[in-house]
Amino acid sequence: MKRRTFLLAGLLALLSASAHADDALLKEIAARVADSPVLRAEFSQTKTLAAMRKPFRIAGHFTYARDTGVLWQVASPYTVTYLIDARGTVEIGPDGQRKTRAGREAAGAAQAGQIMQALLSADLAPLQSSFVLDPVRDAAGWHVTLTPHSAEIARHLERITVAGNTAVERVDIFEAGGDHTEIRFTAIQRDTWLTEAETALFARPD
Amino acid sequence: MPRRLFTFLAAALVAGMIALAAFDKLPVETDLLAMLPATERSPIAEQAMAQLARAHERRIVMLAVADDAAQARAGAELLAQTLRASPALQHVTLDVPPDALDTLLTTYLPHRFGLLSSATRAALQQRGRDALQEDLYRSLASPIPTATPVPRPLDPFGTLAGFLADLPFAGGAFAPEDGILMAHRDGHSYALVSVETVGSPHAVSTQEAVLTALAQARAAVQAQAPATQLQATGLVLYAAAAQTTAKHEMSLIGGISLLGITTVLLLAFRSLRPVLLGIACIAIGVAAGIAVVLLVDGQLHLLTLVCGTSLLGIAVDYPLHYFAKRRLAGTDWHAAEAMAAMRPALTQGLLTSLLGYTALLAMPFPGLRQIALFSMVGLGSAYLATLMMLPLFAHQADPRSTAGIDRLRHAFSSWQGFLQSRAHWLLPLAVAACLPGAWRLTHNDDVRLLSTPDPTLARQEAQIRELTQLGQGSRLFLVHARDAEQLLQREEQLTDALRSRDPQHAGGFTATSSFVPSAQRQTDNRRLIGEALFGDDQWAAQVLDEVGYRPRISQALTAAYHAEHNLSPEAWLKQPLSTPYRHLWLGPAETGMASVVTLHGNWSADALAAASAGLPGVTLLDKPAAVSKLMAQYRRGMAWALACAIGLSLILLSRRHGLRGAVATLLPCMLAVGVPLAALGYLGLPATLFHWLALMLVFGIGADYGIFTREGGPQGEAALGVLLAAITTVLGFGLLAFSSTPAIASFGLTLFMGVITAFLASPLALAGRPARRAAS
Repeated sequence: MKRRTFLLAGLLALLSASAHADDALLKEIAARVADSPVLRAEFSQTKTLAAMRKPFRIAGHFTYARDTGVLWQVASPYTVTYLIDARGTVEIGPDGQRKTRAGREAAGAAQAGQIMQALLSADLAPLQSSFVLDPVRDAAGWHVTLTPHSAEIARHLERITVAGNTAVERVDIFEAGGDHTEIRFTAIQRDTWLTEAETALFARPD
Repeated sequence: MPRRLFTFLAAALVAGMIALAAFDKLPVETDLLAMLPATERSPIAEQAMAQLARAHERRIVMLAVADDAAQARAGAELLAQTLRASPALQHVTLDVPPDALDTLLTTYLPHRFGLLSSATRAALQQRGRDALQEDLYRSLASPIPTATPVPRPLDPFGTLAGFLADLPFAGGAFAPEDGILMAHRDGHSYALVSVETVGSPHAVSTQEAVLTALAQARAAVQAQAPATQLQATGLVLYAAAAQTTAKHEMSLIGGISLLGITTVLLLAFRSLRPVLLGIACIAIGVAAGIAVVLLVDGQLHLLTLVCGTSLLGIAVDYPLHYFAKRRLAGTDWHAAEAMAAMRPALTQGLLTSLLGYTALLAMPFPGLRQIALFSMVGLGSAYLATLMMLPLFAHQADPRSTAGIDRLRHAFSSWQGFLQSRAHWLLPLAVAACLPGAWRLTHNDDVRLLSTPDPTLARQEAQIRELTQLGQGSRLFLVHARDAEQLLQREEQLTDALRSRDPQHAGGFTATSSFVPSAQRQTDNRRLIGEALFGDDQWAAQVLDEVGYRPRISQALTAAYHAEHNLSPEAWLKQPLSTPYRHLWLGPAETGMASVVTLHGNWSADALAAASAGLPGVTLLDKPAAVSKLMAQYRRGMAWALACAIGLSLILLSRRHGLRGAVATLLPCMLAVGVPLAALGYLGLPATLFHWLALMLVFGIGADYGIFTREGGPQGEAALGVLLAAITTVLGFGLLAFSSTPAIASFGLTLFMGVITAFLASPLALAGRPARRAAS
């Protein structure tokens, strides 16, 4: 979790970013994506590492609830669910057992949760403190490039791009060492309500 | 004679001015714990406490807080820059070395397979390679972009990263950002600056220099980064606040009581001379007390000074009785004879007071001993000053009318008559009324009653502690073993027990074994991971190939595993990384090696006791608990001392007054001790050591009132003296009840109740005597 703390504590830093000019576009992007309270999609994540001879792929189901957070349900090659919200990340095993990060780690996990939630919901303005945001309108819709402000984060993370139209369709994470993670969202569906099963997963008893 | 008086007064005035000027420079000890004796029997425990105290007491942790990270950063830079200019501060730390992460890696990477977090270790023990396979996937699959300090190919299962994440590095929510430690929470950004004082935080000079430097820093930040707020915590700030409050209260309470006393005396005597001479007697007493205490102890404790101020209350009684007698005598006045007639009463009064303090002096309680020494020397000097000075400077008669005073006397004598005629049933009634209250009396010996920290400082400290996870310093475990390896193993037994008792992770701890596990633990970790990864089936190579890692990755991993050796505590202690934690390792002690494990966060006393129960070589050092226990012991000691003092006074007084007379003389003082205790019982307020301390004084005062009343004559000739004494004492002590320090306030309240009771009950001291005279 130290690694996350280093990155993510930094992500929320430098709350003084400028980028007022792009505020309007960022607002528009956030508004388009936040249009419906619930959003579901299939995702596939491909990690391409220099140390690997083939990319590592995972796939699963993604649920975004505007008022609650994000469910990240990995289905292959193994089963695990992550609940990501403002309070942090909870790992839910196939047997339904929950693992929360505690104490010092919880702070990092909570920040990580906030950042992931911002990325996946395209509500990027809060990240201006940590990144230079460069939103661009393109033929398919829009894409935003996030470049870290601080040297500590830049040591590990080169940039992130988020692209989409009425939803986030693709996130690319470029690490400083040349490793690359690509997340694609397909079969995006909008809804008003969470299912009962989803509500149960989102519930945090503590 | 007026010339001599003038010379004397001029000298007293000069002495007073010198004393006032010296007041700011007096070596006043504000640390209330310093009044208490050493709590730990074992020298290793004392060494541990002292070493830890040094690590804690000089440190000041500061935060620059703003809504905006850049503002917080600018504020912190200004702050560090200003503080660096102060000669009273050192080690002003703002910047984090940019290679901190690399150092972490170069220290731990060569020993990676022996280093497992407690969670990884437990998972490996329970589920073997399944747990590692999950970790492998997790490190690749987690949706959260992670910047691990360990390159993924060197630690594909994330075990070293897990160990590093578990290291109890201080800093809590803080992480380096562009070379500064910053944290972000609830829309605020915090930048951390840590400083150490050069001198002891208890030294007034250090406190003043630190406060000046902080004020300059605040001003600089206010001017150049106005959106930034500064927060600070450190022992020196509390000590400075306590010092300021104490001095402020001393001047305020002392000033008001002096003004009140002067007014009352002027009204009673209509002359400045008794006032000045009275003050001179007090001044001589206080000055002698301070001088002797400084001579013996080298420094004066805050509480001694406060109790010393209240000594005014007793010391002023001696000259008061003299002047009251003179005022009433009118033209028929012979100073030397009057003084001779008064001397037995003065002497008995002094002796009874001294008896009480002798009992205190016998106790092994440095603070109480100092108060006793101060009071005995002060009272003795005031007594001598009264005997020698007053007949010299105030020998002339006071022929003016006593009409106003006579009215007071009449009022008092009608009270006296009322009380005496009904004493046979009033007294048993009063005792009966007191008993249930005294029965209900409870005690509280919590050391925190000694002081109430400044609320602003306490709030800042709570926030800083929450964000930085600073250790507490007052509770810790001392671990002791034959050698370094056994010591680390014993620490591990303790930390494993602590972990299992704290599933919610509400508390934390810092132990050397968290940074460098015992050789036994490292070897066992390496065995666990080796069986899973590098056994005959070469599972690591298989599974890494499966997810797509190149063959050279698993080859390098296997080679590193076979070449690896343990990280030794000696090697760790040489690392720059260990600098902030070296104080935990006490090293060679009496018969082996010793170390401490510090605690932070919320630990219940029960959990700590349970975790360490039955572990060999582990001792829980809990300073507040130990001190509270001592306070209880001394409170009981005080109660016995008081009982002894009353018994001894009875014997002393019965030589002059007979047993019945002695009992009558001491009745006011016994009531004065009993009524406050009963009142506390009825009010449900727990009695503390300080209530008993005050009762000791009440005993001395009550005994004085009884003795003067009885010696003064059957018609209550001493009543004026007693009345004035009571008014001045109430003015002096009653005001202490308004002190913001609970210890001093309870002291004041007890004295207030006791003195009023003693005054109202003083006619009872005449019992037996007037009856005989009235019959004749």
